Amino acid sequence: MSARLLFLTTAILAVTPLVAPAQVPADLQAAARTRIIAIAKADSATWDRLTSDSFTVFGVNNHVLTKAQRLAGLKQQTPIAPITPSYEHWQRAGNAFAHRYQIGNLMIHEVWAKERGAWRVASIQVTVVEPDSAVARHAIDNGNAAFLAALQRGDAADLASHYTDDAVLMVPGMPASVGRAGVTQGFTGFLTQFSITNARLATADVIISGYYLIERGAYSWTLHPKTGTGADIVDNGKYLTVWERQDDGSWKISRDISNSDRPGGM
Amino acid sequence: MKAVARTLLVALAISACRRGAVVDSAADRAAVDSALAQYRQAWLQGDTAKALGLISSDVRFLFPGEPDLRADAVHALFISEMATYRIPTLNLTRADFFVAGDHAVDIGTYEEIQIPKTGAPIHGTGRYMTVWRREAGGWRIWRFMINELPKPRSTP
Repeated sequence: MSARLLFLTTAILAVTPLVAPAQVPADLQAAARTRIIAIAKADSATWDRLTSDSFTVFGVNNHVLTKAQRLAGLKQQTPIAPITPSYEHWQRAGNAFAHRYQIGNLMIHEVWAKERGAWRVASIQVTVVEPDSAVARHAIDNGNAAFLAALQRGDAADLASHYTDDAVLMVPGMPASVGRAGVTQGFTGFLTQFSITNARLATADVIISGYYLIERGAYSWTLHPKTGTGADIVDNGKYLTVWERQDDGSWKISRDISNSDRPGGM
Repeated sequence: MKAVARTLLVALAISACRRGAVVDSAADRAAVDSALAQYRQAWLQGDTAKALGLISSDVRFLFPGEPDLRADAVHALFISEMATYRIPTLNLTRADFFVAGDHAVDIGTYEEIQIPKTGAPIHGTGRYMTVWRREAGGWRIWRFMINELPKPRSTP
């Protein structure tokens, strides 16, 4: 049964043209919207009403759920804010409709059909759409280059713009800088004391994990004290940075920790 | 939007096996907490094998004052440290934790007392960031970095 439904979903998507929303029955569009909201609200009664008894979810990694299994999960779910799908499309195949949309990094395909006179979902296929690793790596490389340029210009505001609103920056021997305002303050204080030359970042490895990218790397720089007669400090060390993908597809630093390779630290 | 997608994915009960998929973070947090508790106990009890079983084969330890330690160096370090010291105190205070796909980021501070066979106890404190990775058999430490906390202000 599951294989047949999966085949049906795929076949419908493959052979049928897209239809404009105006060609989709209004009661079907309303049912689809109501069902999405029901999932967000954990409204199991509405979800049940709009879901076929033979309903099947095809998740990733060949994970399959029956209606009873999915319903049990929904009843334990904590309600969340209503969801607005993006990239929404409808396709018609006889009396059935395929409904495709994206929420975050999830691509969802639903098959709707009339059952006992009402629209119900017969099956759903969920696909996780991961960020393109090459694109992400390119964005990180560009981000690091811009970061270095801002560092050598002494531009604290620009440096802080590479961090998320809730970022945590953990510099050795300093209190953690929390939030973009805290990060700005941290960099401002640091750049009041030092000007930076010969700054380098070398990424050792990156891994994308969900909405995050974890980067390990090495840094080197020369710190020139702006006041007093102290000598320049030539320093090198390493860092571990968690980047977070933003809704616009860009990447910003969410967590950032580093230490110096110099014995005794900086 | 990210939170919504995460919740929806959890709601849809997607399999935990797929790399990169966001799964039930409450269950993941509990699993990481359990692994961390075992890891801490291994150090307190001087159980080298147990501690080594909770680190990834691709682990990197990033300590101040020295270059990265690869897995073989981390293994040697564990064996050496446990042979040299008894550790009666290892307190971890978590400040931040989140699950990112098949990785979990754990940030906090630590306080440790190492007692050598001869000599005075060594008291260490610092800040840590641990990246745990979901692997076959459970969560293991994949990256571990520490750095120095601010020095306490001296009383005039």
